[in-house]
Amino acid sequence: MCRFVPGAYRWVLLLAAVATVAGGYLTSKLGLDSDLGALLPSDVPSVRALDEMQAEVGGAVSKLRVAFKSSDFPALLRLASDLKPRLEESEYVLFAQFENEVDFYKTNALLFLEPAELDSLYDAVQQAIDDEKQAVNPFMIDDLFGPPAGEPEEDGSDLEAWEATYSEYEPKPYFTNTDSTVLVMEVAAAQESVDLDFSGEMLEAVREIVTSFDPSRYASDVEVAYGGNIKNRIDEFATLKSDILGTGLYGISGVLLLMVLYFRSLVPPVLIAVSLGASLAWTFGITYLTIGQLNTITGFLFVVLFGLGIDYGVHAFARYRETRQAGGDQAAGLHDMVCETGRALTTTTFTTAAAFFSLLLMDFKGFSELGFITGLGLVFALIAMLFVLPALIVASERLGLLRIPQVEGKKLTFEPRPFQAARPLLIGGALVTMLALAGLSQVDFEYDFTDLRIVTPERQRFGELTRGVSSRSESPALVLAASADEAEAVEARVREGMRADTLTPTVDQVRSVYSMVPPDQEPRLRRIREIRELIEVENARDLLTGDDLDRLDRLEGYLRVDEAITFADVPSNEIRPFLTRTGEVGSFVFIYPSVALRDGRNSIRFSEDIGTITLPSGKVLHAASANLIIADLLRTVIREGKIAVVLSLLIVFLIVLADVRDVRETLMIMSPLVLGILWMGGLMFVLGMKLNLFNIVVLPSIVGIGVDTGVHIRHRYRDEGRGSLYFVLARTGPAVAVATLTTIVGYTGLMMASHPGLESIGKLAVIGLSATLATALLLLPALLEVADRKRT
Amino acid sequence: MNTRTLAHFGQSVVAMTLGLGMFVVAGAAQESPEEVVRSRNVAVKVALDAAGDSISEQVREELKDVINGLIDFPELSRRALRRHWDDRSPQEREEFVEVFRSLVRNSSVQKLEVYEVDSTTYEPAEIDGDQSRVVTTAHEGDKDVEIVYVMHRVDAEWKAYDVIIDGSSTLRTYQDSFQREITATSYAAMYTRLVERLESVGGSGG
Repeated sequence: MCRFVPGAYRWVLLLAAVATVAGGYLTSKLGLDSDLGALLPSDVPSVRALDEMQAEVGGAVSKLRVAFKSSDFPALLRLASDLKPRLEESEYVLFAQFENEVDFYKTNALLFLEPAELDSLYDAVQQAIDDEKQAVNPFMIDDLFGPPAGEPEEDGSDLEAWEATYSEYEPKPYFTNTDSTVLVMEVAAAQESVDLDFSGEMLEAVREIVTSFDPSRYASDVEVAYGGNIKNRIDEFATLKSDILGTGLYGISGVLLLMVLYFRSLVPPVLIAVSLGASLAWTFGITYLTIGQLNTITGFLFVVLFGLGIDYGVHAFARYRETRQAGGDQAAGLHDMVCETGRALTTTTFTTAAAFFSLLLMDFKGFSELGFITGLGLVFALIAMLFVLPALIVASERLGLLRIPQVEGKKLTFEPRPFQAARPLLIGGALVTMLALAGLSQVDFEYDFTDLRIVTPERQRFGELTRGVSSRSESPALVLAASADEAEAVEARVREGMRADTLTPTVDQVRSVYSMVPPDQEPRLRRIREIRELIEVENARDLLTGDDLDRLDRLEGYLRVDEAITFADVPSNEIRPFLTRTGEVGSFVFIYPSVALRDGRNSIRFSEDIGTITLPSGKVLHAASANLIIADLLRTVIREGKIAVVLSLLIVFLIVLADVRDVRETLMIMSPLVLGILWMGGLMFVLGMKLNLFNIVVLPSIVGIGVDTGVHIRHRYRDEGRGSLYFVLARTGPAVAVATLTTIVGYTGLMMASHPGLESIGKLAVIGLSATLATALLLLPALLEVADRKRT
Repeated sequence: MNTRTLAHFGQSVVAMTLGLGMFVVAGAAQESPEEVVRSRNVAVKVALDAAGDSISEQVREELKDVINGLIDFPELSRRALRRHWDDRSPQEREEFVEVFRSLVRNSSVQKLEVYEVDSTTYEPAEIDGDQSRVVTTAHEGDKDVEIVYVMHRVDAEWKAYDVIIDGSSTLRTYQDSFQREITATSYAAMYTRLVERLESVGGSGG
C-alpha cells in the first residue's frame, strides 16, 4: 500500500472522481421524511395502521385550518359564507366547514343519552316537582342534608346538573372561540394520501383564494392565520431543510476554520476536505440505494460525518507533516502516515464503525439508520484518507501547491521521563467521577414533547388565536373497521374500557358515524314521552319557579323529539369526516383522548388503553394516530437505548481487545470512554439536561467516537515506549484534541438547529465528546504511567 | 285599653285556643281519622287568625305541639330509615327520633301557608283495620292542593306517618334523603349532620 500510492496517484484520483460523481448524483435524489413515523419499522402495528388510515381516509384527518380574527363577528360569518363555496371549487379541497348543524342536535340531543341517563333525567324532573310540592309541607325539613360546609352543591339528579349533561351533545353553532372574536374554517384535503408536495400546493391555493377575497373588505381589523396538521407538516419539513442547510454550513465552516488554525495553512484543510467530500458522496449515494431517504435524525449526518471523518484526515496529515518537518522525504512521510498512523486509524475506524453497525439490530431507525450511515461513512472516510488524500498530497506537491519545509529541531526523539502528574490526576479524576455518578443517577428522561417540537412563530400565533375553539382534542386516534357491526363493536369495547378505567382514564369520547344514529331509539323515545307526560300531569309549568322553570322551558325544547332518526336525517356536514376517498360512508371510529398527549407518558397510557382493540369475535384492530407512534417510539427508544449502549461498549471492547490482545490494556484504553460517559451524565445533571427521544442516539455514538482518542494515545505511547507520555501528549495530544474538536464543531452546528430535539443532540454530543476528550488526555496517561510503574 | 294590653289579650286568646285545641285532641281518642285531622287544622287556623302578623315564642311552641301532635314520629322514623332502623340499638333509635322530631317541629312553624288557605274539604276516611287514609283538599283561590294523611292507630289514637301533598310523599322523600346520605357517608355521619343542623337552628333533642 505504501508503495502503490505515489506511483498510481493519477489512477486513484480518476477512480475516486468517477465514484464521487456517481455518488453525488445518487445523493441528490435522496429524500427527507420529517414524520416521526419514519423512525419506526413499517411493520410496527401503529405505523401500519397509520399508513392504512392515510391511504383510506387521508382527507378525513388531513386538514388545513384557517383562523379569522376580528371584533366584528357577523363580518367574519359573511366572509366565511362567501369563501366556502369558492374553496370547495378548488381541486385541492374536499370540503370546507365553519359551522355545525346545531338544529339536528338541539332536536335530538336526548336520543343520545343512555337509557340509564334518561331514567336519571326523569328522576331529576320528578325531584324538582316534588321539591316544589314539599316546599309547602310543614312536616318537610328543607334541604335536610345540604352540602358539607365549604363545599358546593353537587347533586347529579338536579335539573341544573342534567342541563349540563344533555347540552354537551349540542355543539356550538360555529367553530368559534369563547368570546366570538375568532372563526375557524376547516378545509379538508381532496387527496387521500396527503404528501408534502400536495400539501404545499393546497396551502398556496387556499392562501390565494383567501387573499383574493380581501378579508379587510369585510372588516378592517381582520387577521388571518393558517394552521392544522397539513400546515404543521409543511412547516416542520421546511424548518428541517433549513436546519440541515444552516447547521451544515455552520458546521463545515467551523471545522474548516479550525483546521486552518491548526495547520496554519489553507492547503491541508482543502486536501482533507476534498477527500472527505468524496467519501460523503459515496456514503450518501449508497444510502440512497439501500434506504432511499433520510429521517429527522439522519438528515443531519452530513455535517456530523464531516466532523467525524475529518479526524482521520487530521491524524493522517499531521503525521505526514511531522515526518516531513523532521526531514523525511515524501515516501517516508507517506509510509508513516499510511502504515503507522494508518494502522491506528484502521483500528479506530473499525472500532467506531462496528459500534455504529451494531445499532442495525435496533428497531428504532434513529439508531439503526444512523448506525448504518455513520458506520459506512467512517469506513469510506478511512478509505479516502488512506488512498485519496495521499494521492492528493502527491499531486499537490508535484504541482507545487503543497510545501512542507524541514523544521530545525523538530525531532522525532525525546528524553524519557516519568509522568509526574499521574497521582494527582488520578485522585482528582476519582473525585470528579464520584460526583458525576451521583449526578448521573438523577438524570431523567423527558417525556414532554412540548419543548421538543418545532413551533414556528406562526404556529404559536395560530394556537393562541384558536384556543377554546374546539372542545374535543384535535388529535384523535382512528380505528378502521371493516363494517358497521365492527365499528359498533369497537365503540362498545372502548366505552367498556372507559367505564372500567376510573383510575387513569385517557379516553374522552369515542364516536363513529354510527354514533350519530343512536341504537335502540324506541325505549329512549318511550322514556322521553314519559318525561313529557310527567311534566304535563303534574302541571310542572305552574309548579316550578325561577331558575328551575327556565330550565324546564329549555328541557321541553329537547323533549319534543318523538320519532327515531335515521342516517338520512344526519346533516351532511357531520357525515363528511367519515367519508372514504370513494365517497362512501366509512366504518371507522374516532377515539378522542382526555389527556394532553404532548406528555409522552400520557401517549403511552393512551396507547395501552386503545392502541390495540380485541373484538368479541377475536379480531384484533389497531388504532392509528401520530401520538400512538410517538408512544411506540418512546417505548422502543427506552428499551433499546440501554441495549444500544451496552452492545456498542461490548463491540468496542472486543475490537480493541483483538487489536491489543491484552485485557488489561483494553480496559485501560476504554477507561477514559467509560469515565467520560459518567462525567457526561454528571454534567447533564448540573446543566439540568434530560435524555429524550432525540438525544438518546448520542449515547451509543459517544461510545463509538469517544474510544478513538484513547486508542491513538495508547498506540503512540506503545510505539514510543516508556517515559514518552509528555512527548506523546505534545505530539499526538494536539492531533487528537483537534480531531475531537472538529467532531465537536460538527455537532455544534446542530446546536444552531431550530428543532429543539436536534438542538439537544448537539448539546449532549458536545458535552459527551468534551468529557471523553478530557478523560483521555488527563486520566489515560496517568493510568498508563501507573500501570507501567507497577510492571517494573 | 292600650296596645300593649291588647297584645297581651290577643296572645292569651291564642293560647287558650291552642289549649282548647289540645284538650279537644286529647279527648279525641274515639274520633274518626278525618275528625282528628280536621280538629288540629282548625285549631291551628283559628290560632293563626287570632295571632295576626305577630306570633310570640310561647304561641309558636304551642303551635308546634298542635301541628306535630298529629305525627307518629317513631313510626315515621322507622319507615324513613328502613333497614337502617333494624341495625340500630334501642338507644340509637330513641336518639334519632328525638333529633328528627325536633327538626320537624322547628320546620313546621316556618311553613304555615297550608293552614291559611281559604277552605279545606275533608273526605270520609278510608279505614282498613288500624290503617287509614284521610284525603283533604286545600282551596286557595283557584288552586286546589290534595293533601293525604296516611294514618294508623297508636294506643287507640289515630296518628299520621306520611303526608302526601299532590302525590309527593313526605315519607318517600325522607327515605330517599336518608338513604342517599347514609350510602354516601355512614349512619353515624348522617346522624351527626342532623345534630349539627339542629344545633344550628338553636334547637336541642326533644
